[in-house]
Amino acid sequence: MKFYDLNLRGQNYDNDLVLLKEANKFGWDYLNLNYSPDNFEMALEYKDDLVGELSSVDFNQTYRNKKTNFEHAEVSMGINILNANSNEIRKIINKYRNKSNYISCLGGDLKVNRSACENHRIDVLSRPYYKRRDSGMNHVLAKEAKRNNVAIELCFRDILNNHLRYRANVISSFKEILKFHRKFKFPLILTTDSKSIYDVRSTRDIVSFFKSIGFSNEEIYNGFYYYPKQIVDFNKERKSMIVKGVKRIDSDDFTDTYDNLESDLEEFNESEDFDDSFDDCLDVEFNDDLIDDVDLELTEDIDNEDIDDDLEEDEP
Amino acid sequence: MKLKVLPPTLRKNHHYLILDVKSEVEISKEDMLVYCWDACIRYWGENHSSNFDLWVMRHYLIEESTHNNEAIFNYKTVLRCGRSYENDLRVALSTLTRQNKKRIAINTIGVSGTVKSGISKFIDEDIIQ
Repeated sequence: MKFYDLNLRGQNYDNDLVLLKEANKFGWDYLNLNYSPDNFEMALEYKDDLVGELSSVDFNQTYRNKKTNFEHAEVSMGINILNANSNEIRKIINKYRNKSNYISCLGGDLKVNRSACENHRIDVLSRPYYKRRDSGMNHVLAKEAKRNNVAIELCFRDILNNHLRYRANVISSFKEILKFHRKFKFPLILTTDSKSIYDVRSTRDIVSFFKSIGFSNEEIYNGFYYYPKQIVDFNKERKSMIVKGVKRIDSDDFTDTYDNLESDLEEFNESEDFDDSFDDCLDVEFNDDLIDDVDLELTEDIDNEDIDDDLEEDEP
Repeated sequence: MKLKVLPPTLRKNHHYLILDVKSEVEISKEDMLVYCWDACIRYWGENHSSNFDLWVMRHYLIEESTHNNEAIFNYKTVLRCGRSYENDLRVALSTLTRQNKKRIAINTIGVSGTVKSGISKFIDEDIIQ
């Protein structure tokens, strides 16, 4: 399984570089920087420099797993439409749809939520619960999102930046949107929306968080890998799609069989993606032979002697 | 009078989390323990946090750097917790963002059965010395 984060907040070259390095360090495999429409073209100019800098990072100074994610993260850039009404959204999409591989729209306002869900040219409706007491979604929007293949995005940063009853409110919105997702099957993606290095968390930490609020293994797999990859792959081929369901292909790619047309995107498989090795794959490290609990206890006893000494020093 | 030490079979079982901590200000070992307790109690409540059995075993300053004229202190910490509560603890720690109006970020980079193996695997020994 790979981890896609489709929403990092891009600002300028220096900040973006630090942010990318930090996210890459903690095991993310695909990072998408989002800009406002005004800053997007400026950001494209330094994209190659960012990728070059990131690929020159020493692999041993990261916490990436040497066996499973042995390559540095991929980087892409997209547009996040903020504070716009339905007409402005339509204009921005007409202007940038062919230039950008990722367009998301910040929700929160009910009219914006509705128009984003009804527009198949938008990839993602971001944070429909933004500055609201409810989740900003209902069964009508959920059906529209499914019909137009618009993904709904839940941001981990909303958990970090809210406290007490506001944080509880956000978690409640997450759970309500998850309930709609289970019934109506619209794409649901999970992102971090990191703005600085203090917002970046390791992939395992974020998976543990979403598990703790009730997401299943399959929903986490789909939210971090399956749906984001589907969006990325779909947008790479968007230009060759004449109308919905019809794609222009080169004569070299044409075959009588469907073998070459199959995507490499794999659906969730519990035994492969979330088996014991996944739980341990990132970081759980024990001593070589510590497999049984009995063995573990014995070794801890030896270690506890050292620990007891420490405790005597430290504890009052 | 000091209590007699429990026999091994009656002692609690522990695992050790290795944390990567970034902060705007310096953090002492005592502060670190307070921050961890605060994060756990805020996220899980007093009842569930009582199972965690937290204690800071080691606390090392790894690097001190600046970005945009702001200092960044990078620490690595070995935190003791009750066995089978590692995931609950890492969730609580990851939700901590500010302490005393200063930004802080805690990431769990590893879980280990012993302090020694955790340090040898996840913390550069040159830095410790």
